This record gives sequence, C-alpha cells and structure tokens, in this order.
Amino acid sequence: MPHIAGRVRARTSRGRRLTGLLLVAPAVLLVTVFFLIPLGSTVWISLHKWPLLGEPEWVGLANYEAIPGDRTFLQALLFTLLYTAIITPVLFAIGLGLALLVRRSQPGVGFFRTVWFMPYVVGLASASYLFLWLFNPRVGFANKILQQLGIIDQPVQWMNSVPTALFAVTVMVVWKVVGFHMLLLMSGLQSIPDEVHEAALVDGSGPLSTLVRVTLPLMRRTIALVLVFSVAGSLLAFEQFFIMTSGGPGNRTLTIVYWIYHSSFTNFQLGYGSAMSVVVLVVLMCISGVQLAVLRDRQT
Amino acid sequence: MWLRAMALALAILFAATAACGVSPDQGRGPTVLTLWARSDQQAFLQQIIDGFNRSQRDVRVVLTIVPADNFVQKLGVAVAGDAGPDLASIDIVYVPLFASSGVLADITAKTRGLPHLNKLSGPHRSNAEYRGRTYALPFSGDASVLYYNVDLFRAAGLDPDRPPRTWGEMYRAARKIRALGGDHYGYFFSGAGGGPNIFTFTPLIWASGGDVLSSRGGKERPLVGVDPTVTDALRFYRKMWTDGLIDPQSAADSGEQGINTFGSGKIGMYPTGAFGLNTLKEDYPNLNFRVTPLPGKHGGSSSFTGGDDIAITENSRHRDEAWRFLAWSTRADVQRRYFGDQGVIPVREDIALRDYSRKGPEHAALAKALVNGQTVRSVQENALINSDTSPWATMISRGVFEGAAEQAADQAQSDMENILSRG
Amino acid sequence: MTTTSPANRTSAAQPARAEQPRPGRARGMPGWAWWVICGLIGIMFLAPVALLLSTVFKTPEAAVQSPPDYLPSQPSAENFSDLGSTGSGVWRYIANTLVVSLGTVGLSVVVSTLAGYGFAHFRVPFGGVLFGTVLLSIMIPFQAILPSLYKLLQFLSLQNSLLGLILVYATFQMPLSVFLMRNSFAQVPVSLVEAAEIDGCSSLGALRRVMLPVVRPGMISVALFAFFSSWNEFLAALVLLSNDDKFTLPIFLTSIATGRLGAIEWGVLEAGVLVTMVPCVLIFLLLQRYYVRGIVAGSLK
Repeated sequence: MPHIAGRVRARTSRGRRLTGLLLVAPAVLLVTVFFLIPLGSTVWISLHKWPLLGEPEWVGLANYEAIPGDRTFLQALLFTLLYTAIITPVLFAIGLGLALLVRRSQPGVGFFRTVWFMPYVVGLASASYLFLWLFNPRVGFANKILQQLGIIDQPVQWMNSVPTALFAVTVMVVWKVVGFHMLLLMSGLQSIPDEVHEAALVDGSGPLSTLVRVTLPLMRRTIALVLVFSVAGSLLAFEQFFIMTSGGPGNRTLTIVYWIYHSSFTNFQLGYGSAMSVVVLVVLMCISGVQLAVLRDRQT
Repeated sequence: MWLRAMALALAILFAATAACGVSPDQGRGPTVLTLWARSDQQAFLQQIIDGFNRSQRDVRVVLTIVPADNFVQKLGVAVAGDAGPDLASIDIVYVPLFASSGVLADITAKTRGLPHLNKLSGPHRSNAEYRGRTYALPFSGDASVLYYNVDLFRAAGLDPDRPPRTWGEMYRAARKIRALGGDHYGYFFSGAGGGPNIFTFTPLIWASGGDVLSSRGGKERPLVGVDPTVTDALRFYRKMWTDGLIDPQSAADSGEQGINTFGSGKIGMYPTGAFGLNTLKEDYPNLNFRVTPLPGKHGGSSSFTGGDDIAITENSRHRDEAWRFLAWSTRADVQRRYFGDQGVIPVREDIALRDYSRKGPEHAALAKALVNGQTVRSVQENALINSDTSPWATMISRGVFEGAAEQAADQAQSDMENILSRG
Repeated sequence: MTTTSPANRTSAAQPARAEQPRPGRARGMPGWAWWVICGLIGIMFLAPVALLLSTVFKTPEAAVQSPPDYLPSQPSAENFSDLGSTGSGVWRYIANTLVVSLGTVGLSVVVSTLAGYGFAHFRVPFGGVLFGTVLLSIMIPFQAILPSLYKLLQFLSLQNSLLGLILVYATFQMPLSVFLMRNSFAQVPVSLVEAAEIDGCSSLGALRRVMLPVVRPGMISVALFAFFSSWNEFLAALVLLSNDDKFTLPIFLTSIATGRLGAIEWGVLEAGVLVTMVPCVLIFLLLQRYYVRGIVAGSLK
C-alpha cells in the first residue's frame, strides 16, 4: 500500500474507514437481525392478538390493560422478587466468604478455587436435573444424608411446599454459581493494596471490622456489579423452576419468564407474552440504569 | 491461517446443518401418516389404526403417544415449527384453541361431501367450528353420569331403582349412606382438578338451567360470577362437604384416585365418565353399581359430552390421505366395531343409541347422556378451566372446601374475563 | 464505561500472580483450620458429582432403589446403553449439541475478531453508535424477547433448525465477545500495526500476521464463553426446537424426564446429566486460565 502523497493518504484513509465498516458489519448485522428487530417487534406483537400461526389481530393496549388484573402474573412477579431477595444476599455472603478464604496465593488455593468454581461451567439445566434427583424424596440423597446427620426425622417432600422447594432451588443455585461470585469478589479484594489492611490492623481494628469498615467500602464498585449480575440473573430465572418445581405447588413458584413462556407457548397468547416481555424489559432497563449510575459514581 | 481455517470450518458446519434441515421425501411405498394422541387413549387407538392400515393399500398411519400433560403445548409448537404430525386426536375442549391458533387444516370443503355428517355428535361438531369453518371431525365420545353403589343404597334404606333426581335427593341419599358410619361416604369427587369438574360439576349447573360460559355470536363471555346457579351448585357441594358427607380425600384428588376409591365400595355416589365403566367391571367385579344422569337442582338432567375430535394439521403434506382416515373413522361399521370398547362411546349418535346401547343399561345411559349432553367452548379452555391452577379449578376448591362460594365465583369471573381479554 | 483499563484488573485476578504468601495469619486463623474449612466446603461442592458418578454406574433398578445406596453393589453400564436407545439415541443429541456449540464458537470468534479489530484500529463511521448498539444487547438477554424471537425465526424458516439456534446464540454472545476482542486489539501497540503496514501488509494481512498472535488469548476466551453458553443453553432450544431428532442435550434431558410414561428412569436421566456435564468440565480444566481471565475482563469492565 503506497503512501507517498497527501492525496493518496486521504484516499487510503477513506479506504480505511470503509475497511473498518466492513470489519464491523457482520457483528452489526447479526445484532440488528436477531436482536434489534425482535426487540422492536416485541412492542409491535404486544399490540396484537398474535396466534402461533396465522393472522394477527390488532388489539391496541388490551394486552397491557390485562396485566394488572392477571393474578398469576402478579403472583409470579412477587415470587420472582422474593427469589431475587433471597438468592442475592445468599450468593453474596457465601461468595465473599469463599473469596476471603482463597484471595491470597498459598499452597492449596489453586485447587480450591478450581473446585469451587467448576460447577459454574455446568449448565443450569444439567445442574437442575442433578439436584432434582438429589432432592427426590424417594431416590435422592438429600433426605438420606439429612436423616443420617440427624437433621430431619422424616423424609421431606421437597417440592410440595414453597419454602422447601425454594430451599432446594437455592442450594442448587449456590452450588452452581457461587464460584462466579467468589471469582469477581476475589479480584475485587486483590485490587485493594495490602498496606490498607495493614494500616487498619495496626490501628487496632479487628479482622471483621477491617472487612466491614475498610475492605468492603473500597470494593464498592465490584460489589455493586456482583449484585447487579445476581439481581438481573434472578429476575430472569426459568430453568431451575421449570425443571425442579414445574412452577408448583399450585403455580406458587412460577417466575415471570416461566409465565411468559407458558402464556406464549401453552396458551398460545404471544401478544400477551410480548406485553409482559415489554414490562420485564422496562425493569431490566432500570437495573442497567442503576449499573451505569454505579459506574459513573465511581468515576467522579 | 486461523481465520481462514475457522471460516472454512464454519462454512462446512453451515452446510452440514442446512443438509440436516432438509429431510428427503420417501420415494415409493405407502404414504406414512403420523397420528398424535394422548397417553390415555393408546389401547383403543392402536386397534383402530391397525384396522385402518389393513383396509388401505397405499396409506399407513403410525401412532405417536404424547404425554397428556404437555400434549397441548407440544402439538401447537410442533405444528408451528413444521414438525408436527399429519393427524391429531384432540380433546374436544382444546379444538377451538388449536383452530384459532392456525394449527389445524381447514376441512370445510371436504366435510360437505360426508353423507353421515349430521349423525355425528353435535358438541363434537360445534367445537370443531371456528368462525364458520370446520377444522375437525368427531372421533371418540365420552359423557359424564353419576355412578352409584347399589349395595350401599340398599344398606342405607334407599331404593336403587329410584336414584336421585334432584340435588335435594342427592344430598339425602349421601346423608343416609354416610350414616352407615365408618369410612362410608355419600359422595366422592375430584376436587383438585379443573378437568374432572368441568366434566362432572357443570352438568349439575346445566340441568338447573344455568351456564358457565357463553359464546353467543362468537364473543366469549364467562358466566360463573353472573349466573346464580353456579353459586348455588357450589353451595350444594359445600353443604355436603361441611356435613361430612364427602370423602375427605376428594379435596386433594385431581382425578387419579376417584375410580379406585369408588371401586373400594365405600362411596355411595361418584360422578365420572364412560372410561370408569370398564375399569370398574374389570378391576372390581364384585362391585354392584349403576349409573344415572346428573340431576339439576329441582329435576331435569344433563351431561358433559366429551371425548376427542380428529383433525388434520396445518403442516401435513398428505391432507387427502389424512382425510381418508377421518372419513373412514366416522363410518358406521368402523364406529360399531372399534369404538364402544375401552370406555369410548361411538360419536355416531345412531350407533351409540342402537348398537352401543345394547351392551347393557349403563351403556344405554351413557349413550343417552352423550346425545343429550353439552360441552364448553372456548379458545382459552385450558387456561380458563382445565389447567390445574385455572380460575375454574380455583373456584371449585375455594368455593367448596373454603366456603366462600360467592367470592370464589366473583374472582373466577374476573380472572376468566382477564384471560379472555388477552391475546 | 471503558475508561478503566481491564488489563490491570485481569492480572490482579490471575491465580498465577505471585503475592506474598501468608498462610493463615492474615485471615486470623491457623493454617490447619484453613485446610479443614476449605476441605469441608470442597467436599460439599464435590459430593453431588460423586453421588452422580456412583449412581449412574448402578443398574437401572438399583438407581431407583429407595432409600439409595452410596455405592453400586453391582457396577453396570446399562444406564448408558439405555441412553443410547432413548429417543434418537444419545449420539444424535451429542452431535446436535456439537454442531450448535462449534457453530456458535466459530461464528462468535470470527465475527467478534473482525469487529474487535475494526472498532479498535479503524475510525469506523458512526463507530460509537455501532459499538453501543452491539453492547446494548448485554442489558437485554433473549429471555426478555422470547416470543418475538420465536416469531422472527418462524418467519425466516429458521425455527426448529440448528442453524437458527447458532445465529441466536452467536448474536447474544456478541456484546461480550466484541467487547473482549476490542480490548484485546486495543492492547496491540499502534507501532506494531504501523510497522506491519509499512512492510506493505494490507489491513487483513496486518491482522493475520501481526495481531492474531497477540489477541489469541482473547479469542480463546471468546470461544470458551460461546462454547459453554451454547452447549448448555436451555430456554431458546426448548422453544425453538420441536423435532425430537434436532434436540440438544439439555432438551434431551427434558425428554428423558417427561417423555416416557410412568416413573422417571433416574439412572438414565442422571447418565444424561453426566454426559452433558463432562465436556464442559474437561474443557474448563484444560483452559481455565483463559476462561477466568475472560470473566474478570468481561465483567469488571
């Protein structure tokens, strides 16, 4: 490629811009076709009675008007929020505990990090089927082990009540994803200079109060991100409940995504499913807004 | 290098997936049609299909059983994905949903040439219509009646030749049977299921002049909170429940236990359909029972006409061959020969009332119930009624076991209106 | 969003990074207690897998025994042979899953490498807007637009097709992939690029000869993310695939659990779980360095 004169340079620069455009084009095309178009058409579909096959029918805002009166949606919303409120602190606390245990290099640390993180690469569906079996009252090991440890007397029918079903799902989710939280919190911890801790310890602060007063405030941004991840993930929970509880007993462990799925693909009300999707989108946008605000807060 | 190798690999992969997507059409040999049906119909369906296959040279039907719990979803999504069967045997209450969702092929023109069309069960036919077009043919029949235990009636001083003809008589009979003491109960019903109760509870309402759902003029409207008969019927069950006449297991049963509980001989009356007949005769040969129509509040009777329609799906590429199966299965000789066993009533009303009714008094009563019965019709029947957590199922369990009949009916009314307002 | 350099954070998280080893003391606990605590937690993490391994090698009858035994009394591979004859046979589902995940990996790596190069080293017209658009989808996972995604694929005749699944997976992998690749390319010194161009390389030539070796770790991270997510994805596959012989492994598990009438065959189901898990675990153990670095770089952006 010759670059002797300014005229040629200009053309090259135009050529470079074109090359750049061509380079990013496939990514932009994919995102446009399989993300932006369905994103836009979610709103369009939500304004229709849209069957599985055949002609849609314009219904205006009827699908949105139905949402407040849909008891199942409200119940699913409340349950999803409850699940999020439980799983987020649990994952954070256990993740932080594990991160504190393995934040420094020493013999054995690499092994434990790997073991604790490994379930994260197992799929949520596989993990759900694994724990569905472990918590099966007849053939699973949960009841057997808990009975042998003397924690329970009678076999528990885990999926027959909301608290026990939620407990089983929480155990599965912790096993599967807490390694991810550990990893992020660990890197947050490691980014704090050792001198900070030492100074605090020299000042006579105990390890726990050092953690609460010094360390955690310093890793505010990491913590905020971990929480945003966990909140966004929990609000979209589906597999664990679809597989482990089937939404039962009596729809009481139905999540929002589960209800959207059911409305769209069992009741064949895709318009209504889309209207609920739009509501979820708005909620997710708000969470992303919080995420951005947190980032900006740190930069000022 | 990396890039080029990867691009090549990618191209190969795409070619491979594209090739996988195209299934080669069978060259010669008979046209194979797939038929999907629910798990509870396997036995009698296989006989029908075998019979059809013997009668045809160039068409073969192959049966695929789909678990009843996710039949609706699987069929809809599969047809929409061009992966569905050619034929589907569908519970008539779900046919409007499939017809309105574009899953079923329009067979209006084909049915016009069918000579025996008006001899086929009316409720089956009306549920197969959507916006003036026909999407299915009647296939197999069922009807709800009241089974009662003759020995218990006698022991309680009741006349088994004069079964209850009003709710009051039902209540008094249940009370006398309960008075036998022990674990004898006057009544059993599956209190936890939407399906069993639309089948057996609605006829009590219909027979009293009420209704649960109106679809006049193509516009669906729930009536559960509007029609006082619904609340009356809930209170009638509620009274039997609070007076201890109903077996306590009723509250949790979603349809699995009923027949065996009645078979145990401790239950005076139990409402169910034709499929109970064979089970009881085979599994409980010593049980002395009869059937009678489900009564209205002050007399009269009604029945829920159920069973299946048979439809050709929108994705079938062999609609003419599939139609042959439809036309064949509604023929008089076929209905006479293959239907009527295993708890299925022929959907040919002439055959049901003549040949099927000769099998015995219970059969005759069931056939009459089928012919005189009604059905519910809604494009959202599953969401409104049959699913375990439907407004209908919730209304029954709240109204009967918790006692808030009016509030339960009002809530069901608004929940049903909500479901119907969405799309 | 990207003013902090991911490079610092990346290295901070590297297990390999040498820090002053201070066994025990800093955590305020003796060394043996640390080992006991970590060991117990480790056992809790490994126990489900150990029980799984023990059960899948029981006979199908022993696998549904109640209460279960910890060890098989009579080791058997029958669950796996049953798996081979369930539905279209497990190999079919493994092949489908491989096609989908390798397709997603290939598409993600190629497309995001090109885009990363473009965004990092070229003044792309509307580059900021385009980059923002690609990143937008990280905030909106596909679960939130499922019904219309389904309709779109139906419209494109890509429903019930593995290719459709690949395109969807690659798209929703795109924000993270492009982000990682752009940062990888941003780390390549401009001098290196210029030197290559002075040597007479074309843009693509410069990419191939000079930069790919530098951004290869980033590409491996992208490939790993794409692999794990597409191998395991459940909801989109559940909705989009309706033919039994097109199922991926996670959907195959669902059809083992619900497809047969009567009781679940737990031994076969859990054998299926094992088959689904093993490739992910092996690949992770081999390449965890890249994966962990990618997570930290991608998350703490």
